[in-house]
Amino acid sequence: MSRPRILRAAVLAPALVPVLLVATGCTDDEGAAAGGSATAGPTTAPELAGVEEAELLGTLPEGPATGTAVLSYIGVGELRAPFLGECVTSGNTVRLEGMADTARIRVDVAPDGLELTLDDVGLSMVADLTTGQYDVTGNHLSLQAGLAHDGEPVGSADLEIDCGA
Amino acid sequence: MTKRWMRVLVAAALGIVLVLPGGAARADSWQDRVWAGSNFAGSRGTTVAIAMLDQRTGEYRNNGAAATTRIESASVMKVFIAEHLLRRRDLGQIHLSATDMNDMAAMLRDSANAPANRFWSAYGANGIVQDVINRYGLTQTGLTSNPRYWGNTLITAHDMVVFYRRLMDGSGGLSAGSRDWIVDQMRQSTMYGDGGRQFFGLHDGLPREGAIAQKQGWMCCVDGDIFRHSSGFVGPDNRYILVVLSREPSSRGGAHIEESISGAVRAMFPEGLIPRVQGTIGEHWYAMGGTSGRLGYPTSDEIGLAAGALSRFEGGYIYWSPGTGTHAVWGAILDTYAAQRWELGPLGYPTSDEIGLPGGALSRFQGGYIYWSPATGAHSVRGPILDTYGAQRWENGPLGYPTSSTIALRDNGSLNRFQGGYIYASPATGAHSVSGPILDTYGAQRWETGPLGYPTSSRIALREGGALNRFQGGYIYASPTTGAHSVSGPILDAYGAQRWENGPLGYPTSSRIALREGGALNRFQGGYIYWSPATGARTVSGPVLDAYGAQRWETGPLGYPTSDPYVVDGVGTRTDFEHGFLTLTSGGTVVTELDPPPTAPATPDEPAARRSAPAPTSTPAPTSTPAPNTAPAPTSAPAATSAPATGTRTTEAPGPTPGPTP
Repeated sequence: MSRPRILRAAVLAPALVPVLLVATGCTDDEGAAAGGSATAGPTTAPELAGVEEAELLGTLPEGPATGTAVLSYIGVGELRAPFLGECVTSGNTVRLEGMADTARIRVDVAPDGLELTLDDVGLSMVADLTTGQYDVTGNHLSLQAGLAHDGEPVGSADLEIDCGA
Repeated sequence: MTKRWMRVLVAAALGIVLVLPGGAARADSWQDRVWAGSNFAGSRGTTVAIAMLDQRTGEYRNNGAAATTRIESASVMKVFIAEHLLRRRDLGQIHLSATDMNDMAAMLRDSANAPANRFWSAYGANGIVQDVINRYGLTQTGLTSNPRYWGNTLITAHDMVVFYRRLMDGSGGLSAGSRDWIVDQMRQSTMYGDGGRQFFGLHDGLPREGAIAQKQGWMCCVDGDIFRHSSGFVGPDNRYILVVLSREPSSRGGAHIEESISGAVRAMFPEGLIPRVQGTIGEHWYAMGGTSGRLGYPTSDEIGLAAGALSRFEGGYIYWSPGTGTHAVWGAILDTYAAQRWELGPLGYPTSDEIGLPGGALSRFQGGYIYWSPATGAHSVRGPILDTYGAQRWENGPLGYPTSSTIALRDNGSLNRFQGGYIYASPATGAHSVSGPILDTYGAQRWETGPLGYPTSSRIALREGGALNRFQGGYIYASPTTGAHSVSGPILDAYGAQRWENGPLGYPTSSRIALREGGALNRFQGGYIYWSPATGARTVSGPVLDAYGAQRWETGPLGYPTSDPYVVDGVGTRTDFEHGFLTLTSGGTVVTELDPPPTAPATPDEPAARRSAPAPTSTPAPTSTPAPNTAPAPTSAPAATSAPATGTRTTEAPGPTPGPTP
């Protein structure tokens, strides 16, 4: 029933690149390897995920959720751990909630946007998901997007999760 | 959280003062600056920790307890990662590839997170920080409570200063090469880093600093707070370590906290740079208005001198020495000071700031003063000349402002010119002023190199507006009616024997006039004094002088006078000359008697023979002075040396005639 959907990949790719590269360090490595500085230009306020991304995640089935979560926070560090939780649908909202090692992760999908909450030892943070690469294939979610708070980038999220497995 | 902060405070209290000199802040300008920054951020609701160290002087300041309160490091701790890895590489414990080095450079320059994540997890996570804590003695730094979040490493502004200082001096254990590499990366920090602009704090707050090596940190929104940290070295020589750490509720946004931290730095250094002045020099500069004052911006760090220190500014210098204190010198006075080799020259260190005077200014130095006025420029006065200048009421007296600095003269003498005269000094004579017509006359006689030599007195006021300066070789008298003239040698003695200007001769009306056969003449208001080696100094005056002049003075048949006037009973007053005599009779006439031309060798009784010559014919003198009726025999007439009188000539004294010219 489900079909792969890739939202705004082409349109948003240029805007997303800095965020993703920052989160993954890809450009840093490449830039440094080239012997130059990976200096970015002035940053613009990240564009937050909205209705389309919410609708897409709304197609995920309910049930247990498994996968991996990589959350990178600027100036803080990185959580990279298997994710175990569940996908919950309630009315027109969807919630992915579970644990990744010591961290509790929750993605709230509301009609007007997505919010990721991290509650880990020594770190609690709530951030909005920005536009990015959102794929839903069957019960599998592949999400690579930035994290923002009050209009500034604070990190990135890379989730590979199966719902209803 | 409360317990954690309590532990932090206890640790801070135990450790802070032991690590850095001057840990206890004191009220001074540096401390005022730190508080200004702290208060600025505080007024915006931003929590800020500030610590700074002048590595040259060791002066350390912070904003109190905040500087020793732990705060999450964010990316500032990436410098710990770099230090740890480079040291292990230096020790041969690990190998860092070119990619590793490039990643590390990006981690420091751009604050790239991905390399930090990789190094952190690959090389020991909290073990990295613990190693740095141990080697650097960071008593306030703490490990992150969750090893995956390196940005939660706990640092303090104080400990970061300790880290940077020991990084720089090598006491933390890192090689100089690796240290330089880290600092070089920090100096190449990019404006835009990982996720944002990273020139808040040091760069934005110190726009006039040409060299900043920084490691920034920022993160949001950890536990509801947003963080902005700025730390590193300031100055081309990395002289200053400045650490500013800030935090506030994340709801205010990044722009707000960045303005708080940059504004705090600006509040500390409104000059846009860290002034390279400190201590009493700095305080003096601030008291003069700092960058807004006369001296403007500093142009040098403090320069250590043999016996003090110096800081240069755009508009002048400030000197300090233990014995003289702190004083500024600027403008033309500074130029004159420079021309005399600054503190190394005879003036030494300044002992005052510039002192405003009516129509000019003054700076005092250990070895003298420098005066300035628009009309005269800046000139130094020192030593005995300065004392003499002072005795004449400085620039308020007749000398006015100096028009030259001290000029070295022969025999270790010296000279200062002033608007109203000169002051000469020599070891043998002391310092004395010469001015007005007397100075002109002195100059006409080649100053101190002429026959008068150095003055031995300053101007002495005399009757009727006259004045006198004594010199090694004579006197110069001046009066409004006679002008200034010198008198010297035996003529001066003869003048003195007649009570100087108070006697019958009055003031001189000429300087010494050289005459034939090495003789000389000074004219006076009341007569002439002639001198020659053979005849000594003799005074001729009144009708006798007129008669003498009528006979062509010393070039005439009478020659030089050989006596002063003396009374000859029954005859009158007689003056002897080399070849005759003139007698002013009681009738007021002057009788001339000339020796006969020599016809035979002189005999010992020749003078008596000459004096016994018959009396001349009486001729009224052209004066009203009555001559004595009798001409008694002289009692002290000088001995004649010329041939015996064999005949006489009698002439009538004519009116006055011009005397010889020099």
